[in-house]
Amino acid sequence: MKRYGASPPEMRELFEIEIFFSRLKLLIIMSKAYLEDYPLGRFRKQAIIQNARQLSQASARWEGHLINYSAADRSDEEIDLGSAFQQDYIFHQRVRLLAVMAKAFAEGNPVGHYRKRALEDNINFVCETIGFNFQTNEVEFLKVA
Amino acid sequence: MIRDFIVNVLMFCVNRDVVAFNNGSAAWSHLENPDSADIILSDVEMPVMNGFELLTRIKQKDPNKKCILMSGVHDNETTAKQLGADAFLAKPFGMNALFKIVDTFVVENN
Repeated sequence: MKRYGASPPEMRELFEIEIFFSRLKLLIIMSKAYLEDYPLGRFRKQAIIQNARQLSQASARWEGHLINYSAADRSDEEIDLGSAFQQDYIFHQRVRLLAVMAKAFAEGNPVGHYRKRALEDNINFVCETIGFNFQTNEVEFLKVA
Repeated sequence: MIRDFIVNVLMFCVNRDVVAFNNGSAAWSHLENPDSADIILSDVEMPVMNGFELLTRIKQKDPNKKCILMSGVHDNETTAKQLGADAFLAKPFGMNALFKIVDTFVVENN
């Protein structure tokens, strides 16, 4: 029997916030695959639209919870609350923008040069915020639809 | 919530339809059709019929169908192995674990 996932001492149920970040990472991978001209078949498009919708709803639920995306090593006293709320607000706006962009390309709406660049910039911002670095060429099966 | 996320990941990876059910009994009703699915990913904890019973029924009917059980409880891993699961997905897991499952059970099997 093959085994995947957490090691035995780490096993537990997934937290809702972990699913939110997993969905966000999935949407980043989906968007990068689109930007790099990987084939998007009918079911891939459907998966993108569903993921974008779910992520957008989850983002609205998590906004204002002040998740410490990139400052895990700072003590509470060092965090400026006003700036933290602003960072949180911008992050969630970016996430929802990514969802709108992904839904648009998956639905076949025209995406020209500048829209692609805006999508790329948004992906870079979100990736930097959550510290996510993923190369689509690491996943061979994405090349086949 | 986790089920819908897994459906989205797998559907995107394989570009095929992925169907999901609320409980083991509904899944079994669907799987009684021999052409329904080749690979089944099931949680151990499910209402009406749990993952172990579903796995047992599937393997009795068609041992060639690939069954992957997932759980956040370590003790369930041993039972899954004894009942003939092809793989065990331990929670919590990230997307890479699902990508590896696709690589092993979809890409390599084809």
